[in-house]
Amino acid sequence: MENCIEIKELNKFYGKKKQALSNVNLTIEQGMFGLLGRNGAGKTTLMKTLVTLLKKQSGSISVCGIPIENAKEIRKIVGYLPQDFSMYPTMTVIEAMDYLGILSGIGTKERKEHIDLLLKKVNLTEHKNKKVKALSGGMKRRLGIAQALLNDPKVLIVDEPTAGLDPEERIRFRNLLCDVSEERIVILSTHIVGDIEATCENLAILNEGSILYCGTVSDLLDTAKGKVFSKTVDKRDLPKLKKEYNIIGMHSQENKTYIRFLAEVPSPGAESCEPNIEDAYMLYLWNNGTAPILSGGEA
Amino acid sequence: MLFGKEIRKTVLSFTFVAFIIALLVMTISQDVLNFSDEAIAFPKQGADYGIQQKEVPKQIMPAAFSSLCEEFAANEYIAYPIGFYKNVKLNDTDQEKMADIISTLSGVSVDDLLDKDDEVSEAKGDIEVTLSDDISYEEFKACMKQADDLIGGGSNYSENNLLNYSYVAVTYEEAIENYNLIASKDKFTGAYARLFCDFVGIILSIFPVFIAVAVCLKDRRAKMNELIYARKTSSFKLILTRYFSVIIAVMLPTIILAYISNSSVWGQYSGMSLDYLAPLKYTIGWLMPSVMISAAIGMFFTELTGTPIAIAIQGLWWFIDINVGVSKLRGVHTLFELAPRHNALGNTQIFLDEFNTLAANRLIMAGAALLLVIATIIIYEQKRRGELSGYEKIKTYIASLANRKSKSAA
Amino acid sequence: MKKSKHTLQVWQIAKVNLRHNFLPLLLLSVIIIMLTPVLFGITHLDSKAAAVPLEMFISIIGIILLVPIFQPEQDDEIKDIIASKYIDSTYIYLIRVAYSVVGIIVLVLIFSLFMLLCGCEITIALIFGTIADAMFLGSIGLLASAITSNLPVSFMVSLLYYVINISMKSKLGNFNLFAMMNGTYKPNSYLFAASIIFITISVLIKRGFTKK
Repeated sequence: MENCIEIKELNKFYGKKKQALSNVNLTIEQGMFGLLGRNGAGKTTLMKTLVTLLKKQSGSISVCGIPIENAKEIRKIVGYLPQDFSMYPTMTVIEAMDYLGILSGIGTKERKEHIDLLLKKVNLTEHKNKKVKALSGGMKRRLGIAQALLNDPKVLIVDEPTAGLDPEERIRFRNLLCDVSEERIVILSTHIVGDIEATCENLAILNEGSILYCGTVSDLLDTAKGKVFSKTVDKRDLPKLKKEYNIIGMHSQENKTYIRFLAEVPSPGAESCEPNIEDAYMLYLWNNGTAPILSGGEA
Repeated sequence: MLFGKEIRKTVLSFTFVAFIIALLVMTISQDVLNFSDEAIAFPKQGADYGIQQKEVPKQIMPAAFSSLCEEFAANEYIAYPIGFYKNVKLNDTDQEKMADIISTLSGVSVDDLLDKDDEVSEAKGDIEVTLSDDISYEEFKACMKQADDLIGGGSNYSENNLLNYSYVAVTYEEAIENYNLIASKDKFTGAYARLFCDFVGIILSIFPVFIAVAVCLKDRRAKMNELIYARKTSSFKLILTRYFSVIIAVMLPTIILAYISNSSVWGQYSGMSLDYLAPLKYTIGWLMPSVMISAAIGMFFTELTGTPIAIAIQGLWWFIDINVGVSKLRGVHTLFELAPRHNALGNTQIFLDEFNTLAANRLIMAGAALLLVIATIIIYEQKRRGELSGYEKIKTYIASLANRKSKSAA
Repeated sequence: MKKSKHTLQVWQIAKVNLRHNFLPLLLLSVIIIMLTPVLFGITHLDSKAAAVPLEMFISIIGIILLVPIFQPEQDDEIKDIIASKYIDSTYIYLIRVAYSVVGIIVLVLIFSLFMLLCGCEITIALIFGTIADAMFLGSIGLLASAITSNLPVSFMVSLLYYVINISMKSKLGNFNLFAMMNGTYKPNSYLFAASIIFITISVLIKRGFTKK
């Protein structure tokens, strides 16, 4: 149990009515772990609970053998990158890192070396004397990762790190995460399926506070096999088809439209296709009866 | 390490620069930065030594009594219950009780005093009301206390204000005694340090709240809260370090100014024994408790509510306190005052007489400040664990109040 | 058509501002006003004595109502959003200035009326003078806030001016806040004129910032 996070029967309410997490059971082992879910699914609540910024109502959590109630010990081994964060705008990159390093209780000499190393890793060495307010969104995110790694944590928790980044920065960021995930538990939450595809071996799908799926990426793909189809149809038939099928993708060429949809049984004239994570994710939401009606619009 | 960083953060802020400027403007405009033209000299025989308040029953009793009779006749009593001018009008029952008091002191009957028969009101002025000779000073004081209570406190007849009826000239012997006290007890420098503290205390009782509020709001405004919450450092260490870095950042320039001010007179007392530590003793003993309570209120309410409401709270207290302080300029103290006044160079005897109250007051302020800091630590820890988001709660509460109001107004 | 749409928008901004920015400040000012009779005697005062609570306490509402009006835009993100909107942000500032000035005038009037009913000698000059005091105290803080974008510092500027007035009134000549309690009314015209100038400069500075 030294190197894993165990979550058992976790519940969290906000106020009396809103249940943010209900009966969450998860075991997270070393490597990259993806937490997939739409906005408001409870990802941030779960992550904040893991870094002791929120208290759970019931259930138990242990991080690398330490019960979550022992906040001080947990904080020693956890690094956290919140979704929406910044640093004192007038401090330089290196000053901000130094300040947070002190708060992590790292000695002077060690801190200096470590900060140099981390800034090199996240490619910010040449910007280390820039003020935080002068950094671009991607640079700020990379600084965020660097600060989360300051205490060389066993567990790194990053909340929606790629939101708002341009494609180039996003790829760079994913690679960075893969780099640092060796010998650590890295939990990455996202609502962007591509992030998971590119980085994670294991994932959980969270919806309205409950776990819909937990397992490996390949198992997830297997469950969707034979349930994803494609078909080329006449544009005029689209409104009718939209009601019939659960369409998850379409693109048009002249008056023909290529559609991709989910179905439990093969439909006539449709070709079965290889599912991707997005398809599988949609299938889970659909099976759960909570899939958004993507094909709607006229309603 | 952390301390150095926090000091740096505090000192490098706009608020702190503004504080330093305010401190300079205050000390220069009030003439307490340079005392070189205010030397305390040994009194020369035959000079005018000024006047002083002294408890002389023979002077106080007739003067206070005739003032009371006048105010009674007009039923308009002047009072400064908490420092502000108040014109008190008594209702019939209280006015009757007042008549009772005057009757005791003068022997004139209550009915005559109240002049119940309207038709003879013309004769009102004819009644001779004088203080009976057989009233002792103790009895008189007891009656005055009753009168003061009826008026609601702070009247001309309160124990403290009775002294205002008795100004007497300072004699040569007394002037020498005063000088000797300044020389022996204050060692001269103490007297100057006291006057410095008198003025500087006014702004040190309010401006630290701004610095403390800015320090506490900084994390949230920079969206850095969660990065800091998730660190290993304990709330105890963080809050305490921040608190004391505010205190030190405020106190250091104050001590420097106190020495600049004090050293301006050192040259005039060559050969005499001076207390070179007086500026330090006075700034720490007299001013620091004010700084401590002001900063503690700033931190406490900011962490509790996430708003700068502390400025309004401390502002109100300070505002009332300095106005009350105007009536205690000569150096009397109360247990719960924020900025103790002593608006005179010297007056050492009063300082010595009032020292115990002052010391108790300063200890109460410092103690209350530390309690607030502990409360702040608890709140911070709760917020850090996601247990208490006071700001959100209060915001929702106010929002619901506003909703109710706007609904009922509609 | 366009004009009426424009007016409508300004009206809506005024409504939103009233609720979110102005009401809390107004509430605090009302608390100050209600505290005044507790602290001061306000019955049967002649005009000099009546000036004491008006100048020393009621003038404080100028600080509360005027100084924070640029505060909502202090956050850079919000500033950008507002600046990018169709309506010129100057309108928003002017709306808030209008609220605050009207608030000061109304509160001073209400309190003066109350004092009048309590038998005090309240003159038009006294009322005007109090409004001028309040506006001047507020406007120097507002100017500080336009220049520094720092609310605590802005409050400090207003308060410092207040403190200096307590102990060195005579030296301040025509900018003495507490002249009416000595029976002098001349400074108040200067204070009023100065406050109008300061408010105008503040809005112009802010406008320059957001346009940039």
